[in-house]
Amino acid sequence: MHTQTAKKTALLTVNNVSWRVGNTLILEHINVSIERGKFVGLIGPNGAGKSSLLRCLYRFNQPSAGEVKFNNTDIWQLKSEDYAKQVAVVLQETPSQFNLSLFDVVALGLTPHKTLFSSTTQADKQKIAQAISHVGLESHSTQLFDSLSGGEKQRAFIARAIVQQPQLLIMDEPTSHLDVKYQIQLMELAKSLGITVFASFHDLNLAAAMCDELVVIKNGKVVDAGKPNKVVTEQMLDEVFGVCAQVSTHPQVATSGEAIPHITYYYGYQ
Amino acid sequence: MTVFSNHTVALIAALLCALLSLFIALSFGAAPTSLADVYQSLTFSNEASFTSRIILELRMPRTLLAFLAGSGLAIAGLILQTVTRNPLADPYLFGISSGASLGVVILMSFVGAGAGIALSGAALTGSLVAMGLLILIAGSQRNAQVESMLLAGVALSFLFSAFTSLLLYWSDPQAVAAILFWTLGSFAKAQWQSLLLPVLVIIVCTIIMLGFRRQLNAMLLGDESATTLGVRVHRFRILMLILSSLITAVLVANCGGIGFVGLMVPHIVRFFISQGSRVGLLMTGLVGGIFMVWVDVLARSLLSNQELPIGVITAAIGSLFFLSILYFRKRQLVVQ
Repeated sequence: MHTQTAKKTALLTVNNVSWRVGNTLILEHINVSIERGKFVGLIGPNGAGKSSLLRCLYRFNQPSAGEVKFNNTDIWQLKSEDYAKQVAVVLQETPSQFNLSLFDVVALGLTPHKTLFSSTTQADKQKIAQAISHVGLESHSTQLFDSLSGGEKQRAFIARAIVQQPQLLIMDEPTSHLDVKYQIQLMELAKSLGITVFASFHDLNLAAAMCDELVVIKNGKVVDAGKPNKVVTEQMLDEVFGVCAQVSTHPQVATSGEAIPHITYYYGYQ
Repeated sequence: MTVFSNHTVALIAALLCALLSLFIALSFGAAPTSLADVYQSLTFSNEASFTSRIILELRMPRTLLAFLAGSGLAIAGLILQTVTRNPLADPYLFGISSGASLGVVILMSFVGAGAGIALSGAALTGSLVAMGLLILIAGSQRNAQVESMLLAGVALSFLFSAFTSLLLYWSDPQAVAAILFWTLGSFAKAQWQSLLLPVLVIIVCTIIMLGFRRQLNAMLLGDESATTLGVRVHRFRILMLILSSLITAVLVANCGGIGFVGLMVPHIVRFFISQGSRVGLLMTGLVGGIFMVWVDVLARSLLSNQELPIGVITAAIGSLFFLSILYFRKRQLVVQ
C-alpha cells in the first residue's frame, strides 16, 4: 500500500543500489523512495553507510550496481549542472583554507544556473541577500566565511541551497557539531523551505521529531523504513544501535498529527 | 554593495600603478636616461636618437616581459592553489621548470649550444612534456585525490632534476652556465617578437579562468561540495592544470624559472581582497606584474655594470616575506 503511493509521487528512488570500494561492499541492494514534499530522515550507527548512500544520491559516488532515479530519470543520464539545479546539498563540514566572504559562499548557489561568462545581475544579488536574511545572517554578509561559528556556517549553506532553488535538499549530518539550539534552528530552517528533504541524523530524538519518515540502515542495508512512531521502537534501538532504551511519546504532536516518539536511554548496563 | 565598488576602485588604482611602474621602470638601466627621455621615446618624438632606441628596442620588451612573467606566474599560482586547495602550491611544483631545464640541457649536450630561439624551443618542449606526463598520470586515475596529484608532480620534478644533473655532470662548463640562466631566470633575452606567444597564452588562459570563476570558488569548499554544485571536479581540475601549466611553460621558455612569485603574490592579494570576486584574479595578475617589474629594476640597478639573476632577488624577497608573515601571525595569536 505504502510502496504503491510512493511510486506514484516519488521524487527520488533508489533501486537496488550497491556500492563497493575494492572488495568491500559498503552498500548492499538499497531500496529507498523519497516522496515529493516529505521530510525524510536517514538514521543508522556509525559506519552503517549513511554518508556513502547520500553520496550516491548527489553523484559523488557512482553506484556499482542499481540505479538512482530523480523524477524517473537516471541521475547519471543528466548533465551535472542540470542535476545541481534540482538537488542542493548541505554537508557536515568543509575545509577552511580560503577567504571567501559569506556573500561569496551563498552566491555559489548560482553556479549551476549560470553560463560561463554571465555576470551576477542585480536580481541575483537581491536573491542572494534575501536568502541570507532568510537564515538570519544579514549582519554577517561581508564577514569572512571562516570567521563564522559552526551554526552560522551551516545556516549559510542553507542560504546557498535557497539560491540554488532545488526541488530536493540533501543534508549529511548537518547538525553534528552544533549546540541543541542551533540543531533545532537549522532543521526548522530546512523545513521552512517547503521542499523535499532527505537528511541523515545522529540525534535520534531530533530525527524522530523532525521527520515525516525515517529510513534505518545498518551494515549497508536498509533495515526498516516508515513513520517515526512505527520505526523507532525499543527493539530497533537494541538491534540496530545496540542500546537499551525506553520509547515513550513526546508531549508535542507533529504537524501531521502523528505522535512523536521520544527515546530515553539507559546507562551503565555493561 | 559597498564592497564591490571598493574592489573596483582598488582594481583601477592597481591598473594605474601598473602603468606608472612600467613607465618609470623604463628610465632605469645601464645607460643614464631620464623620465623625459622615456616620455619622448614613447611619443616617438625623437625616434632616431640612441636613447630612444635603447628604450624602445631593449628596455621596453624587457619590462613588458617582466610584467607578463609576474602576472602570468601569479595567476597560475592562484589557480593551482585554488584547485589543489594547497596554500603552498606554486607553478613549478609540478616539475614544469625542471622539465624545461632538462630540455635545454639535452639540446646543449647532444646538439651543442644552440641559438636563443632553439633553446627557448627546447625549454618549451621540456616543460610541455613534463605537463603531458603529469596530466597523463593525474588523468588516468578517475577518482584521483589532490594529494596523489601533488605527489606525482613533485616526483616528476625530482626525476627531471636527476636527469639534468646527470647530463650536466658529463657536459662542458658552458652548458652549466646556460642552465644557470634557466634555473635563476632573466629577462635579458627579451625581444619584441618573443613577447607574442606569452601575451596570447596569458590573455586567453586568463579569460577562460575568469569565465570559470564560480567553479573555481566552488572548488575552495572541497571536491564534494563542488560536485553538488554541478562542477565535474576531476575534469575541471585537469583543465585548470593544463591552463596554468601552459602559462608557466611559455614563461619558463622565455625567461627561465623564477621562483616564489607564483607562491607569494596570491597570498599578498588574499590579505586584502576576497578571491571570490572577479577582481581577485585580475588583481593578482596586476600585483604580480608590478612586483616583477620592480624586481627587474633592482636586478638591473643594484650592481653597476652587472645584472643580478631575477630568481635570486625574488627568492630573497619571498623568504623574508614568508618569515615576516610567520612572525606577525605568531604575534597576532599571542595578542589574542
